[in-house]
Amino acid sequence: MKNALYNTITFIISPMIITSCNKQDSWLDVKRNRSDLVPQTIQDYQSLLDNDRIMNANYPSLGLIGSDNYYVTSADWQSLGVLERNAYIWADEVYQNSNADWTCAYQIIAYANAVLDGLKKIKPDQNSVASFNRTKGSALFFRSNCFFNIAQIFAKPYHAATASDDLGIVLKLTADVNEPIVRHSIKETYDRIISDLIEAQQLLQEFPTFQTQPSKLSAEALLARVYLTMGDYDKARDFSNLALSRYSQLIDFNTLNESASFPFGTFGKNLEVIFYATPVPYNINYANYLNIVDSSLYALYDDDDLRKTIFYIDNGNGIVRFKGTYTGGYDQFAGIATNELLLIRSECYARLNETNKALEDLNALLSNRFKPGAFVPVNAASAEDALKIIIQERRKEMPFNADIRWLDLRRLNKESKFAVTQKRIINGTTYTLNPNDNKYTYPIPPDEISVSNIPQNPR
Amino acid sequence: MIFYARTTAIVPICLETMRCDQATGVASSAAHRHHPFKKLVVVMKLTAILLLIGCLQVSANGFAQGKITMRKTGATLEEVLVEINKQTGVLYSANGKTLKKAAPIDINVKNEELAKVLAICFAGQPLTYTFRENIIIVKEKVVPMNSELVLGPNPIDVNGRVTNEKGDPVEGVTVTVKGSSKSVKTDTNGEFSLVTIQKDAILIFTHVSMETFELQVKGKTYLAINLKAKISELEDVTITLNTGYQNLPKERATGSFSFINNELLNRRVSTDFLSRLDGITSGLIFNRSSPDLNGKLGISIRGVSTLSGLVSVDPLIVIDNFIYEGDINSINPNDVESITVLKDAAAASIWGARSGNGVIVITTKRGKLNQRMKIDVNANTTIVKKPNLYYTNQFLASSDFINAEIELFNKGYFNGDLVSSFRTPVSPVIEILDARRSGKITSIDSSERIDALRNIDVRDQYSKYVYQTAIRQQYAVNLKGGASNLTYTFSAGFDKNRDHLMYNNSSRLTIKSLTTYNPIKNLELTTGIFYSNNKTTFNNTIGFGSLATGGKYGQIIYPYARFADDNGNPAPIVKGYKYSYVDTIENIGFLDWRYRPLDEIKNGDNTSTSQSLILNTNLKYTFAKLFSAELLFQHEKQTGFSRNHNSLETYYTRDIINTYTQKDASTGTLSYPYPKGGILISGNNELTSNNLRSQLYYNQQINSNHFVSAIVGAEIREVKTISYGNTLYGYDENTGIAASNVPYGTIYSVNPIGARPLIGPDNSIKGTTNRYISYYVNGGYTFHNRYTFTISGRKDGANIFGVKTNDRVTPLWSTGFKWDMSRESFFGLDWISHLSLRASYGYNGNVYNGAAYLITRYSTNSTLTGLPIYNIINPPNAELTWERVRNINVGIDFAVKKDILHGTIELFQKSGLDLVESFTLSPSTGFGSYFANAASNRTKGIDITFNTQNINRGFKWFTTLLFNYTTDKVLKLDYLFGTENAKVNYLINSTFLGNPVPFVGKPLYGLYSYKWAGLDPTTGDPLGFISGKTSNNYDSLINKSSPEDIVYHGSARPKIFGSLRNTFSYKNFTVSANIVFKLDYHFRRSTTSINLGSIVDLPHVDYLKRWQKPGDELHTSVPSIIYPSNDLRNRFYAYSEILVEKGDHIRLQDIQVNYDLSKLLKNRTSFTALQVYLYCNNLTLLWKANKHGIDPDFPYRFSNPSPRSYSIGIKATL
Repeated sequence: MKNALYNTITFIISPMIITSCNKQDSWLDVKRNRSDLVPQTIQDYQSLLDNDRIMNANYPSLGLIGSDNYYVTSADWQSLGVLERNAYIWADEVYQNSNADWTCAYQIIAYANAVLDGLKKIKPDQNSVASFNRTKGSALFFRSNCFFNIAQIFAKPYHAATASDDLGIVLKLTADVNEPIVRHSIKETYDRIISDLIEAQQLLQEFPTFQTQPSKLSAEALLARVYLTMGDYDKARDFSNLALSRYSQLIDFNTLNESASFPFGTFGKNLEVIFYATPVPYNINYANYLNIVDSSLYALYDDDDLRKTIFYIDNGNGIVRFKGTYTGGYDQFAGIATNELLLIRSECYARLNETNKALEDLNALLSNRFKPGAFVPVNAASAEDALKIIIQERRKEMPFNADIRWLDLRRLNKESKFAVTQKRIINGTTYTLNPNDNKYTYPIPPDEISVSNIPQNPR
Repeated sequence: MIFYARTTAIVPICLETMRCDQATGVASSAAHRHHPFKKLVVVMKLTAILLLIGCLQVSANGFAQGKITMRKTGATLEEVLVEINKQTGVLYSANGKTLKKAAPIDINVKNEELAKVLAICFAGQPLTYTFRENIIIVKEKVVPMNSELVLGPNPIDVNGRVTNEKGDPVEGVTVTVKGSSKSVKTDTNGEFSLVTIQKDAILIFTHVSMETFELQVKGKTYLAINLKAKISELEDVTITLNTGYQNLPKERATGSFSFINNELLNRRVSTDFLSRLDGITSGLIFNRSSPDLNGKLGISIRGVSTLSGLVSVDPLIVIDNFIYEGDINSINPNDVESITVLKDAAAASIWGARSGNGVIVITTKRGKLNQRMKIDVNANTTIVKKPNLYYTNQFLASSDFINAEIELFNKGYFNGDLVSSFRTPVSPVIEILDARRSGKITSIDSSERIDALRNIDVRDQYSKYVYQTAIRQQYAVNLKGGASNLTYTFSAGFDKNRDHLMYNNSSRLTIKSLTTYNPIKNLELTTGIFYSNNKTTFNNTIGFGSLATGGKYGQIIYPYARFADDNGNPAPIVKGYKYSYVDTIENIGFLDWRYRPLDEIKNGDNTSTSQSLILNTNLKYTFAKLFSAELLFQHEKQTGFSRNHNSLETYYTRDIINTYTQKDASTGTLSYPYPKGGILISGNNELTSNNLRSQLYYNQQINSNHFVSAIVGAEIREVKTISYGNTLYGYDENTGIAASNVPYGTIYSVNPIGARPLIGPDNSIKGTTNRYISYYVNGGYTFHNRYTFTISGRKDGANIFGVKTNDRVTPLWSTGFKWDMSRESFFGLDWISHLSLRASYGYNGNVYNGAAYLITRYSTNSTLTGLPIYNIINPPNAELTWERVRNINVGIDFAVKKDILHGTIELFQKSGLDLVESFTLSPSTGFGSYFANAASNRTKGIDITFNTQNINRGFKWFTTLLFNYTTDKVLKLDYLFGTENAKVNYLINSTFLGNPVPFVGKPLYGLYSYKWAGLDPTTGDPLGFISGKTSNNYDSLINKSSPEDIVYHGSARPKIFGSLRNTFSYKNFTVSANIVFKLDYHFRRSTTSINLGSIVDLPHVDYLKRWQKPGDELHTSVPSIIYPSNDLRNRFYAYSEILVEKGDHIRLQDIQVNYDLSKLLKNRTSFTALQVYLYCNNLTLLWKANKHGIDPDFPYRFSNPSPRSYSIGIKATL
């Protein structure tokens, strides 16, 4: 009997022993969800950055709503959402609660930070150092690009003199959600953007495999844009130079079908695109929708200028709508392309009194924009004159390119000769936006303030 | 006291069963009001056939027991009864005091009948016994005993007939000659005959359901005996609670259990078992109006002790011994014998980390040893009325809707849609108005065309063409029985349901077999097979609220949509694109691009089938008398297959093909990247679970004072799911061949605008693996049958966090105590027959299904680059652990003499600890929310169950009251509120349907609103308060308010709920009606948007009550409706105080009528039971607190009150 008892107890206990200690550990080590993954390898992190639905979409575009290249009728304005209506008339209060410009850009930053945090734990060997550098450089590029874009909407324009005191943006540098949220100064913001981009430029490969992926080329192009925005024309020229020395392909507009609903090639087919991104899809910004191209802008185009028919569709009755987005679809374009690079370098040359070089770049661009034989090279008596033409060409060349016009309005308003007073008329009421107005800086969305309580922008 | 030793042979018997067994019914006028549906007649015919088959079975022959061999001298009655129990499985029940009065027994029998053995044992005892359903109930003799038994010399023969109170013969009455082993049973005519007995012999008449009766023969040779039906001793009969690990007599249970016996479970007629618990289970509530965030079952037991959407709020479902992972609807309620709901720690902690929400243990039917074959047949049909589509407030009649559309059109609201290159759909009215504006038609034409639409109501179309009366048919047959060394159960069930939506139906076939076998002494082998086959056809997907026009109309269709033209032919509705666009594109050769709802139903070919198989074996070996060892294994497999064939006729397929159709610019010819053919979407899914459990029991009775029992065991378990999807384009149903050369990934321009790659089918394989390891120990000690201690501990491990073992394993424990006061010698309250106190304390767990690390999830490849891409699922938090629920329960069980009143009162407190909460993060962190174990809450409550016998004569009236009061409070919440206003937004915005709003000091489901200051008499603006002053500054009211500016109304979940069930019976009729109540809670009533633009996508009748001119504010609270929109103004109104209503209501849930035919048929058939029943569910709301005609259980859009249903059925036992 005793024996039977022992045997039985052994029999009972054995599954417990089997399941104990080490065996239990390894048995419990199995992954719960097949498609879940704790990212560990460089490739895992690269796959996060390759998520173009996050990383290349929903870039800020409130600036486009607030710019002067188009208008909407009162009736159409009324049919829009509250946010678009408020942004259109530069109202004091813009949002209902949250705002995609802010939220989506910081989501991209969080992805980049998750990658940068993860890469810190990886020691690349000789074989993997190249991919390691590429992934790290990409993360830095995405983060900087978003910092820069957010700063153009939610922080004051850059003034070297007051940059240390002016409130910049939240510089989120890790994926840690427990970090305190604070607004850094404008100087810290731009310093960080530039230093990260320079590091990225060193780490990245020269050209991207896909236009959604960052490269040395796109890092340099972005640096050129950043420096131009800051008014540092030497650096802006240098970086645009660097980028253009790598790649300067332009599309001859004569090769495009002007009757197509979207004349530019879809993703990967537009050869001017250096870095592909799309903005937050506000209804008011959709190509060929409610927005009507400002007649003074439309009037700027020469009849032989192909941009007049490639970019626009004239419905008669004075209703001209934009269709020439570089995405080749109904989304607007929020990336970087070679046309912008040429215009940056051209402007820098003009500002640095190198009129010929400025005109050379400008004409290189325009020669691809006119009907055969109709192109007459631009000439200018002075660098000053050239600058005026170049500034105007910037508006004509990238009229609906996400926030480019907004960026220009913000920086050029500082120069009285370029300053613009914007006006909107809705139901008989005229709304005005004066140069350098506080309203060139959007308020921070209430849902951010309510949790982190960071200081709000004055309106 | 109650003794038991064999866990497997115990039959759960409940108070209700016994009482209802007696119930003879009362004719109810309500019962005759049911309409004689044609369908029912058919069902009854079928049922009759089923019953006839049953009639061929062996006729009743009394109740056989196992043979007993015993040799004892001077044994106590208790020892003898224990021995009987060991040999036959028969239980006994007696008061401890009573047993002590028994004289010592000398017995020496070999292979003797139980009845004879008992006769020997009770001969000359001051005790008597009754025997029923495997239980010997011992009690003191009430009749003074004739102590002098003289055995005279002149024996006589006695014949007789036993009848009941109504004069019907009673079969199976044991007639025993007192003091001898001589006994006989009455036959079907209630007759018996005894030969050669003493003239002065005393005859004892015993029967399962009759009062025991003694009679002195006094020389008579014919006796007419009239027996009374038994009603007393109910409190002495044991209820056996199945915890899934052991069978526990209620007397020794220290925890909180709700036991639902078979009778009560079958009161309601339904396809599933879960809904049968509604209104009859104390402490369990169905959360119809606000479904739980992460609950599939929609029920909660004693409140909710979890906050996060990543932690399940569902109770654990256990069938027989193991957790059931499959589809709840695969379980046939006819296979269920009883259900035990485990509510506190002492009851549920044996289930450890998954028991925090309570456990529902289903015990299936099984045979008994030495039981002749019993056949149960049940057949019923239910007719469910069409849902009332006219109930919803969220609808505007066509004419009103059209007026709003005209106003919007004139204001330019549709301008964007009319020019949009997306060809956004607009309603027919807008098309007419646009044609008028552009001069294509005259104004007379346009108003005529529009007026023609004003009288159409799409709900009439739904009623006529889409909805039908639902019919549910159910047939079940169950065979069970047993020999001396085996028991068996075999059952089959078939359910066939016709849905409310035409062309939709489902069926279920279930087969079950359960066998226990004792091949050698002390060894028991149980094997069970459960099979179920479910088939669902879902061809009609256009139920009310499921059709969407799109564009500005969002998720609804315009109310003047017609499904059929004047000739009854399917008519198209606007969907996806404007008609003007569809017209032009069809003209150039595209496929028909119109959506005809009725064609969609007819062309639907969408079925899913699932098969579920559970195999279990259980090997139990008893050794050294005190121990038994058990090894259990269960394998569960559920496979599902779904097939949705979208033929070329369906809109789905035509839409996809048209979207990608390419038109050659020069030749005008069309080409089709997606081939012109059907699209077959199929999917397979599979769930496999394996469980292995080994456990050791220890049971010892040390003289009559001590009883010790213990279980120790371990369990490992794995649940795997896997699913495969497959989509075939260009599929031809006739040949089964699909196109193989579809150029996936190639970018095409799409119609009407843009370019997209040809999206390939997502054929990825998805799967999950959950693994658990558990160790547990559980013990009980009973002293003097009065004091019981229990203790249990459990450790669980799971592959949850992918981290260190320490974080994967959680220990949980509980302890309980019970004191049976009425057994104390000093207990002097004669009118109380039973009184016991219980208390328990312990911890349950709850499993968090998220992860502690940064988890990414693979998503389908980029449509731009084709590269594999990952999404981030959640931000990391390495400190996550399991949730725990601390449970305290105190209960009193009592019974008043003669069972006039018996019941239970329980007080409980559940504290959720280390609850995973979700923080809203600031958007600049890049993540929406974050999970951490930072919250705690406490639920307190009272569960009361009262059973009364108000009248108990020929006419009987019994009442059961379930009363539950539950209140809860969040005690801790580490939520980061940057500003006071953040709290306001959190509280107000979170009170969405189903979402908990954890906030310290308030209930988990609190309801909050903005203070309401009425309407501005000049503008009709809704007004609120800013620092005491009325204001219409909505930005301030919403974005700058602080918590003092808002109103807290109370809980959004009923704090008081329960039911009152009255059962009346007279003769063969029994009628019972259940009234359920939910009290002390609030809900937010729906209303119209006060932005004109939203009238077309969120219509609501309140629109008609809008403020339009000064003075309207005196009789309406609906603000003026404005254009252009102001979302903050609308939000203020939508979340204002004026829309919060009390949810309190009382409902007459159902009525059941039972007519017992067996007594009428007794002489002619071999039925032991035969009943016809009628059941009517969802009867009516008796009272509701709100004045808006809203059924508080169905306050939301498109949620219609459950339609009334009528069932008729027949139940027979052979």
